[in-house]
Amino acid sequence: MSTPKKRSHQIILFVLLAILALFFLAPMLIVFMNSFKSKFFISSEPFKFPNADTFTGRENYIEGARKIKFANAFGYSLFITVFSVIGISLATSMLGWYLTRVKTWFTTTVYYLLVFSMIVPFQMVMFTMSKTANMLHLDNPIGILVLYIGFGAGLGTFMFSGFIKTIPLSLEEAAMIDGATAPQTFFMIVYPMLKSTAITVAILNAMWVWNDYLLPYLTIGIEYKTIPVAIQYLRGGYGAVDMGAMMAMLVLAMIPIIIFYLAMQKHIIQGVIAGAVKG
Amino acid sequence: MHAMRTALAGALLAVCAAPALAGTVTVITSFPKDLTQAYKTAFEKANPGITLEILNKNTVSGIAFVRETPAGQRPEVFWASAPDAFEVLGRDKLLAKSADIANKDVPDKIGSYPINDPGGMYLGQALAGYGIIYNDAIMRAYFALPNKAVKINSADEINNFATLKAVVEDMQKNKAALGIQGVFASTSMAAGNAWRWETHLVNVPIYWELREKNIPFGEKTRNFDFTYSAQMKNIFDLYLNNSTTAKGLLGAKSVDDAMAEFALGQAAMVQNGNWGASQILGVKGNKVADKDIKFMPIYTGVKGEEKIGLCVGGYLPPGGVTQFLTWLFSSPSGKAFVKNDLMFITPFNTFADNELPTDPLAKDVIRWMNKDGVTSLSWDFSIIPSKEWKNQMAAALGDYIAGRKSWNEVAAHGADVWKREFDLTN
Amino acid sequence: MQKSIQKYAALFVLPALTCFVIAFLVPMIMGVVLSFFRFTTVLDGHFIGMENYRRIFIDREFTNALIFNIRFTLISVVTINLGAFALALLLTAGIKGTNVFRTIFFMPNLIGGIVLGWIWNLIINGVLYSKGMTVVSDPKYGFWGLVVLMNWQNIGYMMVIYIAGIQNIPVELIEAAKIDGAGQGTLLKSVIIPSIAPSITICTFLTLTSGFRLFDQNLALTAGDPGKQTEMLALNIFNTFYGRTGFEGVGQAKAVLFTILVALIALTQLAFSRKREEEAA
Repeated sequence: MSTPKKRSHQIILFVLLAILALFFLAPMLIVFMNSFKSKFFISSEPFKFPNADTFTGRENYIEGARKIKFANAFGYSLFITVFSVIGISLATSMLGWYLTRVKTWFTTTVYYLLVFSMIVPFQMVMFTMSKTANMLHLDNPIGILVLYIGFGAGLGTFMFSGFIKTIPLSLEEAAMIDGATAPQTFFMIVYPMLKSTAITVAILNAMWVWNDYLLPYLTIGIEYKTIPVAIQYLRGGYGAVDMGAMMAMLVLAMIPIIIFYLAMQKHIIQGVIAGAVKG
Repeated sequence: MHAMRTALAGALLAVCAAPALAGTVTVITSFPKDLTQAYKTAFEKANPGITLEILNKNTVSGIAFVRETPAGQRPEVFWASAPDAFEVLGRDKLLAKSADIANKDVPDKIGSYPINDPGGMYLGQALAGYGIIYNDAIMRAYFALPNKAVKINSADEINNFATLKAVVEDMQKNKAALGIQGVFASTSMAAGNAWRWETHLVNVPIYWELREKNIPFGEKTRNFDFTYSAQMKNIFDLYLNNSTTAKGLLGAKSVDDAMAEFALGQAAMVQNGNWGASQILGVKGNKVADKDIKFMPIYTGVKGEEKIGLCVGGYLPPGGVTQFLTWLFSSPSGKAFVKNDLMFITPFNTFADNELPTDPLAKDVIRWMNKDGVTSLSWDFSIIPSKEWKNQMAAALGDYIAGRKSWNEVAAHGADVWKREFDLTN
Repeated sequence: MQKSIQKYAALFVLPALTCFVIAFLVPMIMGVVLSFFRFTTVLDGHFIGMENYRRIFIDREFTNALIFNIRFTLISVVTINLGAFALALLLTAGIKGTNVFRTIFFMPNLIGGIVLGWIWNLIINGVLYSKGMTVVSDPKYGFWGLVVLMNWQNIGYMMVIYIAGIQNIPVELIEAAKIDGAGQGTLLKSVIIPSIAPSITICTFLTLTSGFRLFDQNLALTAGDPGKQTEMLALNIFNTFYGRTGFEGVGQAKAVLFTILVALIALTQLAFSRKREEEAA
């Protein structure tokens, strides 16, 4: 089928895409390249390769990691992300099932409140929420999980109940007639069927929590800096931005995300599409 | 070393609650933890049996914390870099009077400047001064040039704006011969880095206008007309036009950048205070000898300015309120901290001569204060109605640098926003 | 069955609901109420009616942020969607390496706003350096910098939604059009675009909403400089809350207006998709 004309057409398109792909990758590669240059040369010649004068080896990494305590930041980010995601997936799948299977004025109200929370921007509750968190002593890496589950409740419940609506009741009814309690029915029968939705919910929330800046900044930012908070902290109050350390820390911040992405690519893209279409 | 970045206006202490019982002293402060930790260790070593609890919070959340904590559990001492917080807390009646524990031997004023809050709500801890810092080695090199265009022969002879301008512009012409990139270090305009202009430089026109209107020091005024804006323009233009850095790049420059330029010998002058010493002496590759770091006043072209000194303000130590304050100002270890780590000047009473600061800028502030026939300019920027006014000034100065506003617009904006902010805050 | 589930209401409902009430519901109600109060912490307020809403407009900050935000969002919505749709067409044309390209184009979407902001801070300052300028020298640099950043982050995201839409078009539909002698242009106009109308709606509203909500990127790239001239709504609200003592109530009032604006966009989207579903039915 492929005529020479069509083939040359394809080659042109391929080259075009390759150039575009390079443009998409370039910003990350430039940051990577500059992370090995002395800070004095970064703002004046960011597009040049490091040379004998400007190359500093690991210095930016060591200095940056020391300044913002990167290892701690990574630990806090990982802890908060992992446990928020587990908490959200578990709590919202349970709530989603309950709200779908039990129809009362209460469940309807809760459902609409959750949907409403999805459209409210964070700025609306930022001040009052951080005060509430402070008063309830939730301003630590464990307490913040409560806040993430609370903010993640809308999307999670919405997606789980959307899926549960499509599951036929018969299986659950059969289990209950056989004497299973509601928790048994949920965990043995329903939960295994939610796997694909659970992956979607987990991925969307992981991306959100890992990259989130304002919530951790406002609640735990002084004592426990997550990666985004730590990076922004490099700008500091009155000091200069050490661009060398900044470049190195940007690289360290991107590496886990890129690894995660390459490993889970298919799930991530599907999850994001599902989130966009249903959200 | 980190302290001075935050300690723009010297340090202040206010007493929130009745003096502490022995056991625990709680201090709330905006100073960074790595600094206060050193205090804690030293204090507890000197006062066994007393725990010093330091709560590091920024000023805004510090105020919120004091408000939300029930009486009886509030921290004893609020320690901040500027008096704004105390005014808020004072209004809310959350401060206890500290006048009765103030050191009676301490004079009321430095020049026309009261040391402590006249209402007795807060006490000053230390003194600081600012002006134009210059590198005398570069100045001597300039005055030794065979083709210099001015008649005078040393930086000491500069005593008004006209002379300063002639020297600076001629130096800029000869920058290659002097081995500098520009006479003045970058006019730092990055976010949070414009305070050398919107607070410190603005102090000069405020000072002259208040004197002209016979408004006593510390009295607030709704009408600030920016009468001396043309003089501020004189010096600001001089900074901009004879700089190490092109105007377009200033928006990304920080105070640290400017101080580094000075330390590395790329600039001959920089407007800053004695707290900047740590940023000069502490820079890797510092090329400026201690003896060459000197101050001159900020000359702007006001008539009679030959007799002015540096802008001096700050706060004297109280006699002792809690164990912490006594220790801070009277014990050898406490005084060493104030002198060496804070680099504050505290040449009064409890400090003996050999405890005076040794860094070159602090010494030069004292030299200027003691000069015959010279009057220090007081820190009148404390009457600026709000932080917002400073932000607005910084933005307007940025617009002026970029050519989006004329100087007249900057001055008019300053005067307008002053009234608005005065009304909003009073 | 409903009854036997209801016995376990506490177990199923309380974990998520408690968190939701603490993190969202209570702060939301407090927020609305406090927008009519003067306060500096949440417990010391006194009622002042509409005064906070009036104070929003004592200077032009909020209006300027709104105008800047609208301009930014409209331009970004158009460029992102055109770019994403073009890439989706290219990646569904059966060219070799499609998967690799898709992986690359989507990647920036995963990087957080703060990191993105600093990446582009480096690049834009680098480009402007030869002109003796930086991204904060002139508001127009910040504006276009944010547009470029937003495109870089979102094109890949919208692209995968468009690809999914295009791949859902029944093959017969395209074949039939080809047999009828439709050229590339007609195929695009009368088959592809009408078939992916739901994707277009989704992508338009997604970019619209994220454009208005943008915060992290704004903070890291320009922080609103020079002099608040590149400050968008979310950043302006943040700065009002935390940068101006005594203006906490004004910040809360601004947040209420901001919420209404974002909610209106969401309701418009809902109306749009409802209408389409009805038409389809």
